[in-house]
Amino acid sequence: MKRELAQDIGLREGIKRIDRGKIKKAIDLLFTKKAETRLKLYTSTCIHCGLCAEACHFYMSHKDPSYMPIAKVQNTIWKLLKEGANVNNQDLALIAQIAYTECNLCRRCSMYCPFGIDIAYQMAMVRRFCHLIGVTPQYIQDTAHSHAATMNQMWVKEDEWIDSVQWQEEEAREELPYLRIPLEKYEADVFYSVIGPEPKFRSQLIYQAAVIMNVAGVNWTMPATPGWDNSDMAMYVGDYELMGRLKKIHFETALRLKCKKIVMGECGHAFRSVYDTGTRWLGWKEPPLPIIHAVQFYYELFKAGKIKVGKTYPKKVTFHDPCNIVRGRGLQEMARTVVKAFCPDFVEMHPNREHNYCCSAGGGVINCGPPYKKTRVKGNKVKAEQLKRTEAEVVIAPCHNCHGGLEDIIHHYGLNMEIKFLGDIIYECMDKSTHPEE
Amino acid sequence: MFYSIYTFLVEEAFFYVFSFFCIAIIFRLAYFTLHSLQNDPIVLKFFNLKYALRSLINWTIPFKARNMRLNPITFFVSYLFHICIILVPIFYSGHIFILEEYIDLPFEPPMLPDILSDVLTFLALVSGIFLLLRRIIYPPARYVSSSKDFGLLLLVLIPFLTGFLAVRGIGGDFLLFLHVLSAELLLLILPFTRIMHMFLGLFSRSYTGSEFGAIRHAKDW
Repeated sequence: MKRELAQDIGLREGIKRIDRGKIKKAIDLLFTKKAETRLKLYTSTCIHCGLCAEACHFYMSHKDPSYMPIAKVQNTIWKLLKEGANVNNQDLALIAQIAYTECNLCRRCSMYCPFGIDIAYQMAMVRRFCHLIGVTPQYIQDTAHSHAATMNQMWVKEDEWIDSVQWQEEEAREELPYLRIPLEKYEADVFYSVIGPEPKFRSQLIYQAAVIMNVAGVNWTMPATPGWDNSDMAMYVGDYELMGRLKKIHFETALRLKCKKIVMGECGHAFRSVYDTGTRWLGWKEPPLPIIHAVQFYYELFKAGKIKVGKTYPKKVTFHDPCNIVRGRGLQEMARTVVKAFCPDFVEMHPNREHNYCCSAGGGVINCGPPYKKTRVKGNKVKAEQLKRTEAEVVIAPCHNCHGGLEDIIHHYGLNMEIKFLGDIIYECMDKSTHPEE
Repeated sequence: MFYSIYTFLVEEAFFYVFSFFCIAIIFRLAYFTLHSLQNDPIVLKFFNLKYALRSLINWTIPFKARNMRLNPITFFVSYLFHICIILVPIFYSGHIFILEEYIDLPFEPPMLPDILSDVLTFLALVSGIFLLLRRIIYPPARYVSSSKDFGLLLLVLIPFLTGFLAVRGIGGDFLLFLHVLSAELLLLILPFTRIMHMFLGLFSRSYTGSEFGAIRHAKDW
């Protein structure tokens, strides 16, 4: 394994403050004495066959075995099991670097392992270990700090949130004079939550969602208090205690407003956190109220005839299946139904659906910031080739992380493609002439 | 002298070894099940029989999973290897005749024709050597292979090699003795090695199948 430690103050300073007692405690808790059964089972079952290699975009791009899924387990968990608390500082920093920046937790490899060994789970455990000993990349740790202080990912203050929403409402009323973004409305059918970056730098998405909601005549609301942000970098840092707080305030806000269901914006990791990881951490088998992703919500509106095709989208499009909503929730066909209705010139990328290659930004990798941009872009040449083969002009990716990741890949490999959210396409092409109250 | 040790190995020793083998496996499986109750309750809470079976079946059907189609030769040889090493020890006529000397079986035990046993043993050896070479040649496999992985595969192949030669009368009593000894040694260590994947693999596959089917609404093959 040839890896250089990145210029990341979080890792470089983190290892200087190492406490061996903490390391021992963390190893006991996560990998040995109190380890979860799954971790023990996976360690005992893996027969070291290397058949997971072709599942990972990092391996497929570099063809270097040290990037294959099980190699990452070998260089992290197995190393910790072998060396225990005596593992040297440099190795600890590299362990963190592998777990945070060379694995997107996309879970594609568990579909390629003959035994279904969940390597993403194991990498998440390594991240939890790194969190417990205090060696984490600075950028993603900062988003976790933001979560802890403000209950959102981007240091958005309470008044700034309300301001952003009302600003988008005002803007959108120029287009649809009857439009409202109802804040703090009780007993609405839909509690709409977004991720921190939407009010921060993608506010047009709130505008577009508002237009779709209003044209479709949905009885909806957004909260004016913390709890509006459904995102969860704490989950990817390994800070599960904080993850629990985030999910709790999100659910409680929806329940305080007595809403019937939560609809989440087009974000993948937040969806994974809300319906799966975070819910489980709070001890619920199922979320306390129904939660659906925007893709499913748009599909249901479309099927109910509440959003209609006004004009078809003129360009050749392809669809990128985000891991957290496709491999994580099977929304691939719903997404395709909507995409195909609006975009007659649709072409599949291969492999697709559950087998799609990851964007290499998810799993918190893009949130680890500039020191690792090259790692994820060069580690996903295979995605660039996959996109290029489609010859499409536009790639639709209903996930924020995928957007960031694909944008970098498209620029780096000179692909000349546009990236759109599903909401972008619907907003642009839907029939907005029908006023639902008329 | 060989003869008396050989008789001991086949008679008494085999009885103890085999009992130990069964008990050790049951203990190992019980350990994982009980451990999950206490340390990982999520596993049993989210276990779903329907989707566990769906996953197991789809991964048993040859070349159904995408990875099998990506690596057809490796998977073909693995299938062959596993079929051979499971069928031959259980259904080889010589083994059944020995068993019948000690136990009255209430039914006519199914047996492989000797020629088929020979062919399957030969195939087990060839495919085993292929898997061994794959570990050396294919970079991802080489990267994760340790000396233990090579040793274990060799240990599995030794009883087949010695058996194959002994049936042909090569090596005489000594080889037969080696055959029984290596097989019993294998049974003794098997529950504590990666060969447990034959049982534990079902566990991990079932759990992943449950998660993929019931929670994630997606295929896992």
